[in-house]
Amino acid sequence: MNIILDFIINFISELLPKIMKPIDDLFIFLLPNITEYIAPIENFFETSITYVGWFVDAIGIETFAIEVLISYFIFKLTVPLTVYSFKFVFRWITKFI
Amino acid sequence: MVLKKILLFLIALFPISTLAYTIPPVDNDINNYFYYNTSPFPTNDDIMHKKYTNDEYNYIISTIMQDATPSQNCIITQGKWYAYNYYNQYNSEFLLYCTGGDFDLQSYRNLAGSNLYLRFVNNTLTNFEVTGNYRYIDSTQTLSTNTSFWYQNELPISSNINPNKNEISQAPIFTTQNSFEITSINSSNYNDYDLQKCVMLENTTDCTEFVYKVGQKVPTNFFTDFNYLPTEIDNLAVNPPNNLPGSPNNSNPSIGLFSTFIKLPLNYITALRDNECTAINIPFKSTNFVLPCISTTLTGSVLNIRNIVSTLMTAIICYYVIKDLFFTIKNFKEPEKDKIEVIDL
Repeated sequence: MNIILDFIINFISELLPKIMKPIDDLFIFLLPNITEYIAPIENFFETSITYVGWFVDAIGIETFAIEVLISYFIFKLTVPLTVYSFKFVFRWITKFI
Repeated sequence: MVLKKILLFLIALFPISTLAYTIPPVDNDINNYFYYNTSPFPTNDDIMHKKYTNDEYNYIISTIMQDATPSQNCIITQGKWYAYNYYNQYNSEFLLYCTGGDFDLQSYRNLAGSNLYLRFVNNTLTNFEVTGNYRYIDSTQTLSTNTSFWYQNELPISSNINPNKNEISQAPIFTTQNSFEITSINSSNYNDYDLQKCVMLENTTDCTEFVYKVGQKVPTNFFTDFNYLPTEIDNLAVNPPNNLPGSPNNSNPSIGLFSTFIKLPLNYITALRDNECTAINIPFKSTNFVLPCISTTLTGSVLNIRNIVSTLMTAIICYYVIKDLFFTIKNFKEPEKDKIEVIDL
């Protein structure tokens, strides 16, 4: 489960900047100073991420439970979409056969 | 419903009660920290030494054995250890377990550079030994383990004690800069170093071109190339770079702009999964209040109760997840049910 989760997260992490690059470039071209204003917000979130571990530790939720929850939501948001898409396609095909 | 309320109450109660339970005194004054190089590093015959430029190495600090009197055996059970090289701070907390004087560090550090520094926060340790194992991948892509260093030395109690060869009096700076500037040199004996220990600057081929002087630009790899460690580093003081990621003085434009924000949930998820607790510093006037990690402060029956609650919470979460998964999968077979869950953005 760890490997699958790592793969999914890394995959999206690598893919997102590439997809967003044209939009990012456009904003940097049109508003070159925007990065300076956004940097503190980014820093705030990055700093807040460092405290996530503390809160998880304080609440006492086990890592296993967190991974189960994350895996569950990944499953819930991806697999039914795939299955129902297939069902839809098959239903559509059977209408013509 | 009642059970849910009780659980929520317990969850809310635990951080507060455990904080009130015990907060170990942690000295946050940076001047009282000292950094210890786990040198000497491998000799020329060592595989890591030869392979350094080609491979990445994982260092595993397998055991910390305290060679002290029995009364001191558990001194650092609640201490925090930080491992640094000059690029990154690695997983800032170790949980130390005191088992008759042996301390097992339950995690390993992936150090890109060959220098590993340990920072002692609750430092009353007087004598210790460190053995470190590293894993390496040799030219045949075989993962192997070997002992990389063995260290034994006396640690000074306070920062006022004269630093010895392997101690540096100022925090090592982990930086992503290409270079930084020497701001002060505490020793004038650098002439004693032979030429092989000088730093090869960019665009130079002659070691002698490097001069140890204030204002000298030093390339970043100065501190990552073990050939020049630790002898050159011990008396150099450098300015902290002010453009570290996350630094308030960060003047670097962000790369990626909006993609960073979109990646935020992923970063949070990753942080959740890593579950690496770091003590929270709350600066107030001239004092720093430290909220230690709860798990490090608990002992005895409180720890047992917490473990039981954690297990219960995990069981309840797993129950609801499995129940919902069952109905989700069951619905796949229903020809009429094709509702798709989506995130409401």
